[in-house]
Amino acid sequence: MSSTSSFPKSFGKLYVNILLYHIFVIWLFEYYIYQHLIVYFRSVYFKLFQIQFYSFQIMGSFPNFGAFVLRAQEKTGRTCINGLPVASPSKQMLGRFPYLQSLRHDNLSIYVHFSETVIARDLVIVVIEHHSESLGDVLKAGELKDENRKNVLYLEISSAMDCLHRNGVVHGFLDVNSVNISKKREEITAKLSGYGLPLVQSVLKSIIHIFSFLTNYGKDIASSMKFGVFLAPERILNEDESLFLATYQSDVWEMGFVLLQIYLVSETISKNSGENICLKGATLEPDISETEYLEILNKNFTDDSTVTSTVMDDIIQLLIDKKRLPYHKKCEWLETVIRNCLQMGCSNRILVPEIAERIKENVGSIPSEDNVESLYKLKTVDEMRARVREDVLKDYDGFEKLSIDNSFYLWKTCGSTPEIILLKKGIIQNHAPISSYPSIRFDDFNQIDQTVDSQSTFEYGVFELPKERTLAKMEHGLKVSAKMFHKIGVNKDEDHQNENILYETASNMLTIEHFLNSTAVFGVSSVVSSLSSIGVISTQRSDVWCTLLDVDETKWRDYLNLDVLASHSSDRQLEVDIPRCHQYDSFMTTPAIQESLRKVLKGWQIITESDNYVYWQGCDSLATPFLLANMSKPHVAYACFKEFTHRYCHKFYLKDNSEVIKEYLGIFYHLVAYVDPVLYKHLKSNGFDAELFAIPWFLTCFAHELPLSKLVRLWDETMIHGNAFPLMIALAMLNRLRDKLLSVNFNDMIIIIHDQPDLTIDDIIKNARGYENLIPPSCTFRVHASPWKENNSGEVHCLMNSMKGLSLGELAQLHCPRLSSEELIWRIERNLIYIIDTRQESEFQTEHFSNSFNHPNNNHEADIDWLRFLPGIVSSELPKCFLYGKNDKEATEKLAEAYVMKGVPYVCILHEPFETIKNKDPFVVKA
Amino acid sequence: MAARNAGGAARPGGPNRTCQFKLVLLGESAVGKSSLVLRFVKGQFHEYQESTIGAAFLTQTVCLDDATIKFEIWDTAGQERYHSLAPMYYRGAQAAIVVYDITNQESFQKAKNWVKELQRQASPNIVMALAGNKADVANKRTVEYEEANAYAEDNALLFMETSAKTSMNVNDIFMAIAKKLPIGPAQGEPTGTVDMNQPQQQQKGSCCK
Repeated sequence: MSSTSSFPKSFGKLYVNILLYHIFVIWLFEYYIYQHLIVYFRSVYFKLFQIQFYSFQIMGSFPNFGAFVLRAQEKTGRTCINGLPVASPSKQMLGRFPYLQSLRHDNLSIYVHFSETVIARDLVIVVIEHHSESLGDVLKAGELKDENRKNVLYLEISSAMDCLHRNGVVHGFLDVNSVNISKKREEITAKLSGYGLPLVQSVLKSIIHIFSFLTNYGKDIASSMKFGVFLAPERILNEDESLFLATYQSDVWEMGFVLLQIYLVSETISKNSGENICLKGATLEPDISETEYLEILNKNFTDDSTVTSTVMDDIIQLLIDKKRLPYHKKCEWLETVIRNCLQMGCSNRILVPEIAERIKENVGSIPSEDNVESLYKLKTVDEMRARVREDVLKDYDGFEKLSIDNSFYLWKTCGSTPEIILLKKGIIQNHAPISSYPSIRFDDFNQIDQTVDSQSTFEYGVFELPKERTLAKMEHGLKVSAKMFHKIGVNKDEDHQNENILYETASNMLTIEHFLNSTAVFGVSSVVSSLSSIGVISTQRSDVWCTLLDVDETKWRDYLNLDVLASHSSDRQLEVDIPRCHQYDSFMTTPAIQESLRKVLKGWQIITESDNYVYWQGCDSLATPFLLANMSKPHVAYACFKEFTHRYCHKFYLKDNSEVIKEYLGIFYHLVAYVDPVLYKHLKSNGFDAELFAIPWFLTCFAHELPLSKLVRLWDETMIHGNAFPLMIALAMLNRLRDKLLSVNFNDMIIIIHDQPDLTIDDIIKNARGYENLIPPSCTFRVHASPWKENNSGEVHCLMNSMKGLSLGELAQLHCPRLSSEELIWRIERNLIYIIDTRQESEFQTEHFSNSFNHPNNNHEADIDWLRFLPGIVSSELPKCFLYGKNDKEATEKLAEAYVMKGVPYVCILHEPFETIKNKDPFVVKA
Repeated sequence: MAARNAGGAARPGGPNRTCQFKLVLLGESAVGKSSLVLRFVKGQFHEYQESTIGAAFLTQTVCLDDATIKFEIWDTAGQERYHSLAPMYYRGAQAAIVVYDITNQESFQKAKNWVKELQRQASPNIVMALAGNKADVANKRTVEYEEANAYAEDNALLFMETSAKTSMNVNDIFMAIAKKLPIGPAQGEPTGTVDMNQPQQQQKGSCCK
């Protein structure tokens, strides 16, 4: 049992009990069971044992999530200028949510999820990182003993508020109960929660609505959670308006009260007026009633905004009068700050950045054991090694390294939704429609005694979502160790092929994160092979795409300087296209996201205008996935869109793109002829040209044809390949329908190809990869191809290419792809090609490539028997390249066509005559 | 199936000839071309019909008293930039519906341009119809019925105001076209294929089998 001593110490009493129990059981085994059985049981037991040990670790670091419900007010009957209905408030909130979700600060609880409910149209569910204790609890429990802890809280709260205000978000709900406290070991950290949200509480027995960012300053919301007593005076005054704003200034007031409560709290006994009063757990709330608070406000109220009037001293005086003022160490600067927060006139209040500044000045910065700067101080490799060792020794379980979004992704993967849980727990209650009818109705419109005003009701407050299921699934059938979370450098086949999908997902998340970080050092190519085997998880898609597309802030700087609101010639087109773009996706139906899409497209147009680029219908579909991956960062979406189109849709959006598109389609059909001549013949003989179906495929890189869920998977793959990959995808799409297409005529062909509901994206990706390996890279040569080249592909992709473009007429005459002479030489060297030399025998005898076959072209007729005679050629997947002399070009093209039409696959033709091939001498046999 | 039933006296199994005709829809973007086709072919309507890129192809059969007519419908992209593709679709077409949006004056101007282009470039016997779509939002109308009607009469076009949303006049306009199409005994080549290389392709007349 010596191995137990190596376990970290931090798993608590329960673990120790189980440990003792296990030791006892194994001790029994050792004495009473045969020796071989002992060995067996030990191993089995040890496995169980490890799992158990791990579960305590997970409990420690897998985050908690809290869910709460909001009601969005329905405004029916309104229509937009184009006659379409206005988006519902819940939709509007949905669109604004990603911005709120994107806010990151160490002292903000992070929003992770927002959804409309299925059961009631007007209810929405918000999920946020949750900690079960609030600042109010901590104050009550008297845990804030020393000044240092208080100072840390001042700093944390003010810097979080500073972050919110700098990002244009009003908290609206700040009080000691909305500040969560996260406890790790002995440290406590403030986490502001419920920010940016609408709140409702019955104050003075009337409903007050408070609004801020998410709810468009409250216009969309009817009710929500409770808030504290110490509301800013102007918010209480506006009560009769029923809708009124939370502002930066009201936040300052409410923050003043939070600071005051921390400042005044004392854990022990106050010695005041000679009496000993136990004030353990003092907070202002029970000590000062709502009435008293209002009286103080009333006393200080003045119409003259120039008169400064603070309520702090009155509050303190009241506590003294009530003999409830705790003992506290006097702190002049802080009192000044708080006094300035609690000014009756909004305009007299100090601003949040200034508060943060003052606090920083007087308290200093938070000492951090683990900050990033300390990493940069490491100079030598030995130091770094020591640091890594140190990190490993800390009892990480892997989950600590998962981001909060990834953790929630795992939580969701376990099958439940916040809505189902809230319904089951009775937090959301659905009522029979009849219960929302009033008892009495008169004069058509007046009604009384309406007990329920909506079909659904819900309880206020944040509810912790259970996570046991996630954790149980995670552990299922596993022997887990912290190291296993990293697959890097581990042979995948060895021992990680387990069936625990959840665990695999978590592991993949960390692996991808590791790779993304490593690209800074090793370049993108280091990531590619791993990415294609692991797959991309939606929470990481933005980062992965940015890495693959090489997008960083230099790529969007120009966008940020644009005026995307100015009118533009494409406005009308955008106005009609955007509201119908991918409308099955709920985010795309929201006004905020549609507005972002408009900005992205407009920004892109303004910037690329000088290159003669314009908006084509379909650009909207193409830009959408990038926006959905970066909903709070349209500038990133713009940069990704620009780079992606530069690579894979190069010149497609030129004002006059017909040359580009026709070349692309021409090459596409050549590739069809190369891989599937039978289908090619069928398509051609039916007049089924690529123009009739493939334009939307290529113009939008399948964004117009595939639903987003399938599309993003396809693009994950596309981005790790070269600029010809969309052609490979198209071949795979065509191949999927091959049998159907071969059996029908023109009309049905068109209908089949436009309607592909049951498409399996994995098959398409697999086949597209296959085609990429099968087709010689130079066969995809296009004059208008993007100059961008991936740098991680094989040698053959990096060859020089001396090919020249063909006119559209020449392209149409040709029925197979062209091969570059550089690739020909490369292939000859490696014996990866069949050469069919069509020059006359005499010429052939004088000089020819070794291992080439002579097929004098006398009658342009394909001789299948001759071909069969050549060893291995029929079954081989290697290219069969037709080679010609300088006078035989057209004739050879005809011959190649004849073979294609006879159904011979992998036929191509060299792009230049034998005579002009460079560097051929080492491979040529001379007479 | 509403569309089929409304397509006239359906007499399945009757001794009718089946004729195929190629029909093309043209017009400014977002006037409701795809919606008209979708309503006619599938009896459906989507509030947020996705934009068409290039062109879409559908078929629908209607029954007349003495013949069954199969429409091969090319629904084209409306954006001006796709204009260069249009000849590929209207070349060889026996019928065309030019669509505008009655709430959008500009789209009516655009429709007139299409009519002109068809008169110049398309086959001379082409049956042309003008459809003023979105008649369900007549309260936002900017193109008067009389104005469009007068224009249609001047140019010998069939004319109807339609609504893909309520299905008003949708089947009617296709039926009206069907009745005007030449259903002769002449044997023609099957159409449907779009010829991109022969701009001077001649009108094949009817094509009954």
